[in-house]
Amino acid sequence: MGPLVLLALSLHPGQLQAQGVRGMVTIDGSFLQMPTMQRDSVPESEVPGDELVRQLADGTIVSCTIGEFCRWYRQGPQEDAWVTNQDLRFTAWGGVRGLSATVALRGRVGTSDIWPRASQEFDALSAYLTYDTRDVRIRGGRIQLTNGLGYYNYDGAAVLWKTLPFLWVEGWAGWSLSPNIDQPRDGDLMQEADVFAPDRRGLIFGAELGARWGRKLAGSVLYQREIRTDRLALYTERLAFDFGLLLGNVSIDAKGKYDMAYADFNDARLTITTPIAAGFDFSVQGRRYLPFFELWTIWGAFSPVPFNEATGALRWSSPRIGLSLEAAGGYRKYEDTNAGAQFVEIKDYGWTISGRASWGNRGWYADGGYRAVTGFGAVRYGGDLTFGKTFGPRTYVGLRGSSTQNFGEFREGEQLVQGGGIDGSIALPGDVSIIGSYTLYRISYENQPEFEDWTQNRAYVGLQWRFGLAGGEGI
Amino acid sequence: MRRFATRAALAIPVLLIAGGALLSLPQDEPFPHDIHVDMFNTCLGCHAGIPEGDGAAWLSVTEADCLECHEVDEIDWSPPGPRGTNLVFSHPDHAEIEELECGECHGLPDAEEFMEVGAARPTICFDCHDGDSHLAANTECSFCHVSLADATTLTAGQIAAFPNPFSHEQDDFISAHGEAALSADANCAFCHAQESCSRCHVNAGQVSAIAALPTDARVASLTADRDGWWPTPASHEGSDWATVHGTEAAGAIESCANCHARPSCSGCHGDSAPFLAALPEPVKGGPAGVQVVALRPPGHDFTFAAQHATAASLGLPNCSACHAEAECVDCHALRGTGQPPLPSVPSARHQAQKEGEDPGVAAVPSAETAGGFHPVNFIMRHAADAYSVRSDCTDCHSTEVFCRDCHTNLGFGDNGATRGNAFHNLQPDWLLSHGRAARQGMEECASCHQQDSCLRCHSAKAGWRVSPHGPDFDPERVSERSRQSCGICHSGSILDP
Repeated sequence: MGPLVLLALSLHPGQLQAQGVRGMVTIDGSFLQMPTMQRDSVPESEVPGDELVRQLADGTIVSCTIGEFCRWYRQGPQEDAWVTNQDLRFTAWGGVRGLSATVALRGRVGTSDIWPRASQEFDALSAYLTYDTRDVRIRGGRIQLTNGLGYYNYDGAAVLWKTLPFLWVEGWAGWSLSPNIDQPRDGDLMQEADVFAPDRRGLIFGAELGARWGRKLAGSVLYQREIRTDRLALYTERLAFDFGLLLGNVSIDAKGKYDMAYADFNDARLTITTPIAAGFDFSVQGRRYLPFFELWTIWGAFSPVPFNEATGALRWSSPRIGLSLEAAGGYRKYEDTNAGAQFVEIKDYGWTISGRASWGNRGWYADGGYRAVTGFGAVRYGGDLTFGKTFGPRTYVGLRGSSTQNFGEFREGEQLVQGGGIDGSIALPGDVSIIGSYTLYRISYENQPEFEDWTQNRAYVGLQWRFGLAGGEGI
Repeated sequence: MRRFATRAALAIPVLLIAGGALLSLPQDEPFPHDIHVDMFNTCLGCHAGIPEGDGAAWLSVTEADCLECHEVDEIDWSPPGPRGTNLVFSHPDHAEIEELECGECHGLPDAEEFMEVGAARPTICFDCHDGDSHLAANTECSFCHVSLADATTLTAGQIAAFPNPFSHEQDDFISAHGEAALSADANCAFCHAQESCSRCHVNAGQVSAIAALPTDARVASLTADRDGWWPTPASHEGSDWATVHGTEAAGAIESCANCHARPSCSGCHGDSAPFLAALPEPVKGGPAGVQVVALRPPGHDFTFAAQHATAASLGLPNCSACHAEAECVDCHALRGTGQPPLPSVPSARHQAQKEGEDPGVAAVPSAETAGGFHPVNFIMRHAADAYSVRSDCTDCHSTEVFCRDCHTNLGFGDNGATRGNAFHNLQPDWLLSHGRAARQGMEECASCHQQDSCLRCHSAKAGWRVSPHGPDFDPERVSERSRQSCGICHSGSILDP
């Protein structure tokens, strides 16, 4: 029967055009030396003083529990961490117009005690069939949603109705997976990570309505909920919207996520971008951000507060000379927490200032910038510079260097990271390319006597093979 | 003869003074007529034959004539040879005009004396002939000049010294000269050869007006070492040019081809864009044309990669102008729409998919990030970005299985054994202040701490029973959706409806 089908298809040129495969195989390995910390302690009676926070003879700050121990974190040994990934991704069109299969699989081997998710040796990112017509697109299998709520994988089906050019509706349903883990909600990775991890699989339902009015206005709204299979509780219930408006040369974009359980916006942004003179663009953004937590956790019930942020960026660019300059800045302010002792200073604001210049011409490129992030939680000041040359698609060599100062608001000490590296890639016949990099960083500490300066090595090497039809062919 | 002797006597002091200068006079310097003014009373004494058109005898004196007054060692001058010219002027024709003396044309502008002469100035011509002035737009060049190809006696240096016509000094000349060159009365060929145009025009071979010009070795020698010059046209100065240039180009891509070869456009539009066929390929040794570098459009900050759906549907800007369909397929069909990024090497056209350090800036190739979302060395400096939430980390990462897993493996995540504020050692009163810190940075807490770390104090079932709820907490709304999460801290009684 099979050969007959093939024969029949071969006699139909129009159908033959719809056959093919486009895919990519990637094998890569990363090596990284990582710093570790170890908790240490001495009997409280051996540390002079009677305060809860004291200093050892070398200046190390320790936290004491009366009658027990004084504790601190000291430097641990450097750990060599590595991981290799093997990816196979392809989309195949099987000879029936509109029908395709998409598969993305990943295998991992690595130091599971350091590298996150290295113990997840097999990962089915997606594997679904698509049947696409002029009016409807139907998908079934392991599907990854990408929408205003982020990335959600699930095992199920999705139907997109797109008959009208100015309106589309998509609905989806299935068994939900833990976001960004590709395991069922009650999978072992989550069980190992948290004692209150979900103990039931989840069901996901959602729909998105999108509309477009010419080239001036477009937008979409979506609703999605995940519920335990025993229906005792929701995992998530969220809305998202995204609207874009073009008024002359001014573009206005409004997008947001809304948490139905806590009745608040998680991330709402209004961005206005406008050209102001030849080569100059200016954008300003107002943003409100409140972290989202799934309902199986208690974090949301701890009443996190949002911050409101205003940012602006002025950019000049000249495609003629390939130069782009930008200056940007932002200020964020947290809303009142109604918690904690007011006499203890905790910053409730943050500043960001940055500048960057990028240049590229005739294959040469240079890129350098400085960025300062101050305020609540962590602070960093740093710049970087990259210089290199591309010799064609996927073939380049470049040098880079960076220097960053890191401070913590809640932990004593300063960390200075300085270093540089070399990057390169070469395209080989057969759409194969090999890429690699080596980097050396020097990490220095200030005000942390329990830490010694050290040198970090990093390396990456990868092979990538793209096979099958080029984009747009055979579809 | 006596008059000549008298004049010669008068001239002696002048000649003695001028002698030194004359001795060192370069041979291509014009004869110093002015200091000989008192010695000659007619031009034809030295320029006999001019009125008859005897070009070979335009200078009828020899060195022997000079020696009548000068000593041998004073004379270091010999008559110049025939001069290169592109003139079609006829001395015999003008000599027939009775009232026209040589000085009418050759006299210097402020001449007061006979013999204060020089080369005839073209402006004199318009005293009698039509046209506003020499080099004016309405002046017919051919009335006085032959084409460059016919002016074979001109040297490259003379050609280089051609004055600019007034039209060439206009601000819009570069953009307007093409139309003028195509007109029937174009005068380009009087000064220009193909090489004049092909220095800048990447499509020189396809422009009829250029093809109609002959090639010229002298012009070629002048342009050989000069780069093309492509001033930015006024139309390109508009702030929205990057957005609208496609529409403009669609109607007149031949015009684009004057300055832009295929590489100008393929940097952004790819090598397979259909309109590239209308543009020339650069010719080896020819002009490269305007170099255009692909830059990330405004608004394409690093969060754009994850949230570009609406913009893509709206076409702001036109996605296909910079992105090939293959790029969409790579992510949406192969990557599974944005899973943890695959290692890939970005080309210049893929830069928009990578995170720059700051919004709107094209990232640069780097294998360290494996072609992924984050900039180089992000792992050692991500803390401040996580606190300031440049992008929502949880869109792509599991807080529990990614962030907390790594932090715990490295030794500073909470494995349930931490007590006191050994880690948060900059805050002596951490116990009193951690509530404010937690409500401002709950995500960061969760990246190290498990939920049960907090239940030692914040559970209603045991411990200190400190309520973690803020004043706006709506227990009913939450419990409607997840009574189970309430049950982590609360006993059954409070959960009973």
